[in-house]
Amino acid sequence: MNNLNSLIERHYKNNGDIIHSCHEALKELYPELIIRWARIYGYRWAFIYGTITPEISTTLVKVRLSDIYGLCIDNAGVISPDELNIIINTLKEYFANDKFFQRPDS
Amino acid sequence: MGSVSVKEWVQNVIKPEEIEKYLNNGKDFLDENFINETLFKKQKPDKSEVREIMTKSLELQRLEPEETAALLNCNDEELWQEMYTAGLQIKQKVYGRRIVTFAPLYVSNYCVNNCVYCGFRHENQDIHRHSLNTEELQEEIKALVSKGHKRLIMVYGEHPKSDVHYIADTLQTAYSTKVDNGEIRRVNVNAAPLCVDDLKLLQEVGIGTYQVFQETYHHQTYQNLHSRGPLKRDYLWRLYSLHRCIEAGVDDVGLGALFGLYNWKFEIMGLLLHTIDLENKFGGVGPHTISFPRLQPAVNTPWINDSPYLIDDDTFKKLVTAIRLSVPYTGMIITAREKAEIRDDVVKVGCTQLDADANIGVGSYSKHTLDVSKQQFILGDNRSLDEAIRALANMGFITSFCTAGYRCGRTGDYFMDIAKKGKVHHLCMPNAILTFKEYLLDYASNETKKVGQTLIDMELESLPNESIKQTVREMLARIEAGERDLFL
Repeated sequence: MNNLNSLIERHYKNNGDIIHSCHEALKELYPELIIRWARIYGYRWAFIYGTITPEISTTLVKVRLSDIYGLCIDNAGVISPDELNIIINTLKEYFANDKFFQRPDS
Repeated sequence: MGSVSVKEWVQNVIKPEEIEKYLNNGKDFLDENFINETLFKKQKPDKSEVREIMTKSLELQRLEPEETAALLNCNDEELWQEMYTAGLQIKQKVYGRRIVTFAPLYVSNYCVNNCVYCGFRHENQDIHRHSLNTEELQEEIKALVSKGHKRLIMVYGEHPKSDVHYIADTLQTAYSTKVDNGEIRRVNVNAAPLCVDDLKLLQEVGIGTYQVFQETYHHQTYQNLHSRGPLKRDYLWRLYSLHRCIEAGVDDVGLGALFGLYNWKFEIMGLLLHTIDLENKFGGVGPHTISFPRLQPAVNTPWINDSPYLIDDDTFKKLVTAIRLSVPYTGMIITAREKAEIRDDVVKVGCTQLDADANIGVGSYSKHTLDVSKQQFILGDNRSLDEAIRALANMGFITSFCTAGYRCGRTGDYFMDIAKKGKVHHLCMPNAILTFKEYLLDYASNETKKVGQTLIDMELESLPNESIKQTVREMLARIEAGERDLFL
């Protein structure tokens, strides 16, 4: 997953937004992936950014990347389970890094 | 709130800078001359014009003020019949044959304001005041969950006893109170306008939709009716409350006007201008829902009987239809203020949500009492949830308790984008079927189970593709085996 890291870093240098950078990096690696990013407020996962599709997913995977942010993958099946685990762990590292986020209470 | 007096609290609520930033060249968006001129200009629309406008609505495009004015001025009953049909077609196209059901929960009826038409007004000595404490609220939630409710609208008067911290605490209590298989999965709020920082606090605890109704959009009428409310008299603080919500991240907002305070055509134009201003300022994101309550009698509130703007049932149906056609993609809520027969009729012109089994006395669900001295107004429809669901099922509507979109990142501009494309039912019908099945198994009478299951079978067959059908079938089997809260 060094490739994912380097893609995220490259996008981040250009746009300074970690969520957009992660999104673009994943889309470069897996163009067919349908993902959206959410801000978590209790039960509510509020849409921040991502692909908008009117088709419902029968294989939705919700990933809590931190206590504040989550990722919804409509078609996680396009990636192998091992790869998915690595991706999630990589993303979690970015989302745990305060450098990328202005915490609401900071 | 410590030792802060009511007077001191009131002085710190309104933040003028959170109004001024939204004004257009120093003016609010509610241009009364424009509304009156537009209504005058479109006094006598011809048939072809009205039909062209209907076609635009059926294509799910939001109407322009001139077009809505033409519909409002239509005097041709035959055309209104066509508009009723179009209203239902639009609703089915966007939302499918599903109706979202919820319960209102009045949490606190202390209020600093003095709205002449409201039973909760400060000076009304005949109202029994109460704010639910945590234990009382838990009892209320348990009573509602035990009937099968999954969605609430929690209602608060404007008072330091029900400030934002109280609202946040009560939301958390609502979400954390469970009974067997049941729980509340979405809490919407109807309360007073708040500042951006306070709204962020509610966002943190997982608020659903925030509703603030303008009551009347007519400036002078607003001033006349609210002149003795220390906070509510500020028209602009209220007018821009939903702008502040979206700014704070509460991206599902609910508009409304209280019909009977002023001319109904003017109010609909006001709702439309409000929608347009939100869409213009927030990248196309308008209201999640529009409500259209009608004035109803309240304890010791004689003003209501004297209002010159009360509207009859026929006009009510027309105004609901005009809203449906004007903003085709937005949810529309008809509440139990209306009598059962009115609701059963008007739901068919395009409503998407209704409350059922409503008891609007503070603390009345758990006590199984109907106490008008604790109510803001008197309800018209007292049917139980089971009866209301059965009535809807007999009309071909499936009741949805679905909250999946809200829990899967399909909120705000995501939802609005899908709604404008008329595809909400693609996402929501499978989840409506699943939540309806849960209700039938856990709470329904045998009679409702029978008609409900027939409806599930029918809707299952209508799902757009085999893969979704198969997944829903498997999930239904898991629900029958005892699993709960399955969604796509």
